[in-house]
Amino acid sequence: MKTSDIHELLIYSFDNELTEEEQLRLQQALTASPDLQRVKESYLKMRSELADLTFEASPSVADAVMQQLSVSQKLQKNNQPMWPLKKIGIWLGLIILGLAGVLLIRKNMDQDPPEKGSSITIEQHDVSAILQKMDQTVDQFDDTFESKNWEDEISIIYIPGSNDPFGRVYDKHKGKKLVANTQFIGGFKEMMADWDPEQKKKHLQEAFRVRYGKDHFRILLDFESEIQARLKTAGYAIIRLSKKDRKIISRKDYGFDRIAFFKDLQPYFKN
Amino acid sequence: MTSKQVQAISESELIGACREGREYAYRELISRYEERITRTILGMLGPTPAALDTAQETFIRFFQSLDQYRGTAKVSTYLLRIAINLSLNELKRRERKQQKQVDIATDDAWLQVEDATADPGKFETRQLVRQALYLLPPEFRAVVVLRLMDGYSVKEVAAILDLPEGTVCSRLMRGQKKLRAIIEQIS
Repeated sequence: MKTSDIHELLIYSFDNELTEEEQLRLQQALTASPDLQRVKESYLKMRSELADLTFEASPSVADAVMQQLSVSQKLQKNNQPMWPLKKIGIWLGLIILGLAGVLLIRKNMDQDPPEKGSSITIEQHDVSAILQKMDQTVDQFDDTFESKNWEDEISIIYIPGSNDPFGRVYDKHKGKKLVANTQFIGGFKEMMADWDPEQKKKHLQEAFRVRYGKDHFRILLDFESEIQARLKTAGYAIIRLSKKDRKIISRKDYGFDRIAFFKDLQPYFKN
Repeated sequence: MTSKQVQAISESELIGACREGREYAYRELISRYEERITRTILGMLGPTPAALDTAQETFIRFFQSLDQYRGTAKVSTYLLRIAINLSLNELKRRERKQQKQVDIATDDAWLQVEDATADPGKFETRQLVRQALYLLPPEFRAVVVLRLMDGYSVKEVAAILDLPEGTVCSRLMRGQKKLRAIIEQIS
């Protein structure tokens, strides 16, 4: 048995999660190995020393949290139930909205029947045009990004394509949609350096269709990785751009820290 | 609603009340988890002013993302995940500023860690362990703090950190060895 396996058994034994057979195996290994006994003793000593650490109570954060939240949202201080008429009004409103939604969907279905498989929206754009003056202005996005869907700010999530990070994005957010004013961009130069653009596009569309089916968020493919060169990011980046002020509002680079990146991605998806 | 009534509310009802913007629910949720969350953050960041800011930010982020909370993970898991991520971000920020040593401000009352006169021998050991903990690389520190200091099981730590259990085990084993080596080095 590998040392790492027996160490795992040892750690699980402290959680009382071993089967009888595993307990027996661990016991035999402990009896046979003074080294393993020392590891166990050291682990237990460390656990005891760390569990013993005390921290004086800090002041409650409740007031500070409430104060900060009240700036961004209006809290209901009144704990009384809502007035019945108000409730009725809300329900009536919801019913009217629901009916309007059904009518709208039926109208759209009549006008624009979807083609089979058309919901996969992987696109190739003129990257040079997008990137022109990207660090100062975002005007050039008007033609290529869905300008009707955003008025001032847009968030750009950039993932270079060298190590298939899209796999995890798709796996985690399969079937979800991007929130408004957000655009994914992916670079794939490293994956298919010798392929011609049409070949690359076809390959990726088929790969995504086979792997993930349809109904996924849209992605803008940057086959030449020019965006990466312009953004000068070592890994992944989330960038908020302002159309009005013609500048980058905020930018976060992640190196290749996927955990932090994928966590920060979550708010950009909705069901 | 009396404080006893509020304390008797289940976690899911509390979340529902938070979603409706009820202030009492926000306060109750903070009071239920504050101590646990703050302890973990103090383990990660040390008794610094940034730890208090991180604790605040943890709850703010949680409340702001209530719409995304589906109830598949426990509230404590979700909160700890936010707390650890924010702590790791803070450690990265410090690293960028090359503040590898913890900058402990001693003028703020809440930052006093413990009474040195109560048991001088134990106090010294704890100080040593604490100091070593803050020198442990962040990816090991998160696992060591959650499993050895806070007592969460390997499964719970894996859920909080979104890591495979095997990774938690190996980081735990290597982390505690590194910690022991640091303690020996600084003592």
